[in-house]
Order: sequence, then structure tokens, then C-alpha cells
Amino acid sequence: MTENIDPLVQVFGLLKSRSREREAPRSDLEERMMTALVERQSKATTRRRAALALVACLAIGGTGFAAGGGVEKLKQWFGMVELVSPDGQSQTYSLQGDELSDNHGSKVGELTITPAE
Amino acid sequence: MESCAFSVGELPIAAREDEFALVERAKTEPAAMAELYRQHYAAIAGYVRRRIRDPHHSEDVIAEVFLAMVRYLPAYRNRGVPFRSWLYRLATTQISRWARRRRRWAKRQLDEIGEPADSATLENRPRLDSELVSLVLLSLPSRFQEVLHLYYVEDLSLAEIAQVLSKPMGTVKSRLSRGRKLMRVRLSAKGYLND
Repeated sequence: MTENIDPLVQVFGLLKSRSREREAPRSDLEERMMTALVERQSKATTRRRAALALVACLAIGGTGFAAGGGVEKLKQWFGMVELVSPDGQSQTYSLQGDELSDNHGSKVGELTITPAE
Repeated sequence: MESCAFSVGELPIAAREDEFALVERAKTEPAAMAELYRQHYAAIAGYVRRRIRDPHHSEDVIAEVFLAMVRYLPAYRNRGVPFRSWLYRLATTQISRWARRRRRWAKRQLDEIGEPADSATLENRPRLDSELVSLVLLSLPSRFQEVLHLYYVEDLSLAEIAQVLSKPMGTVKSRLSRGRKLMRVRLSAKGYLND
């Protein structure tokens, strides 16, 4: 019975003949790696600081905006309804939920939106 | 076959935990990074030198592998794969990049070697040695080169190759089979192997 030998085992065996002695690590490469590590860490620190500064700015700005009545102003901005009559007179109401209130805060009615048929 | 050039197989659990702790520390501590480098330098350098026979190019690629280790180490996660496999993956990627650039040159070199039918050039034909095998291997697409080298030269099992290349076993088997065929065809075409 003949054994089926892979001819490539012999061919590739030629590539194995090179020395396999353990070689000592290169000190110049180790130095380059340490420099690269320090650079990477310094870049990461800069990025982290920039992100923290951005978050702090947003938090301070947001707090100041809320404290200065910004939230209320925003609500008004989005919750105002202006009705203009055919003679050009306009009346502004504020909208909270479905309720319409006049400038004095008194309820004047409810807003219902129905899709056009 | 010779004994394994390197082993990427299973480590004992304690050793694996120690290794993982060292890798985690190396992400931020230069001393741990240096330790990791010293532990793996010989294996990686040997692998690169066996694939890239040119000493000058080998040095460059070895440096690229370890600088890539510094760059990508923060992204390394322990998923049960030995750290060395991850390192071999980095090395294989860098070698393949180099091999793609050298492939055309290798093909030209092979073209200059006479065909068996050409009796005039046949006499001057070089004998089949490590340089020539390396040249034929380099003329193949890099996906076949890496599997053939890991299997035949580094003596890795198919499972270990799949781990190093981060590919399914089926892909590794298929590449090995197609790579073998291509290698045989190229060697037979030059009269070095009987088909």
C-alpha cells in the first residue's frame, strides 16, 4: 500500500531550514514603542479634556439658560397661536396642551385639529 | 514535520489570566508594554523573517507590527483567544501589505526562469531551493500565501490558523486547498513538480 505523501510538505520544508534561534528584542524599537505609547496617551488625554470641557460648557450654559427663564421663553415660542381676522386684526393666544389662554392666562377655549377630508 | 515554530493554542487558565492582566496594564503602563514586547518579540520576528526573507524589509515590517500593537492595543478585548494570536494577526496583516507590493516583482522573476520545454534555458534554470519556493509563494495572492505559510512552515493546525486570521474554518480549508493547487500548478509549470 503506497502512502499518499503531500509533495508540498517537502517543498515548504525548504523554508523551515532557516535558523530558529531566539533573537534578542531590539532596544531601538522598544524606545520607539515607548515614544508612541506616550504620544498616544497624551492625545487621548487631550481628547478627554476637550470632551470634558465641552460637556462642562453645555452643562453651565444649559443651567444658565434655564435659570434665566429660557425654558419658559422656549415654551412660549412653540406654544403661541396667532389668529388673524379678515379685517387684519390679530389676537395671540398661548397654547398648553389643548388649552388656549389669552395674555392674562385665562382659558378661552380648546384647540382641536382634525384631518382634512 | 518539525515542531511548532510558535504556538497560539490554549494556555493554562492561570497563565491566560496573568497574560490578560499584563495586556490590560500594557494599555497604559510603559513597563508592562515593554514586558509584553520582550515576551513576544522573538516569536513575531521569527515569523516575519520566515515570510519575508529580505532582512532589510523584515526589520521594517517587524517595527510596523509592534508599533501597530501600541496603536491598537486599547481596542484589544479578551475573547478567549490567546494574545499571541492577535499579535500574529497584526503581523499577518502587515506582511500581506508588503507581499501585495512584491507580488508583481515575484511574477517577473519567475517568468525569467525557463519553462521545461525550453531546453536552451532549462540548463541555466536554478535549482529548487528556499529562495525559489519563497518566490513562487510570493507570486500567489496573499490570502493563499498566508494560509500555506502558516500551515506548512509554521505548522499551525487549521483551528489555529482560523484563530490567527479570524476567519471561519471553512474559509481556511478552502484557501488551503486552492492555495495548494495554485502552488502545484506554478511549480509544475516550471518543471519542479510532477503533476
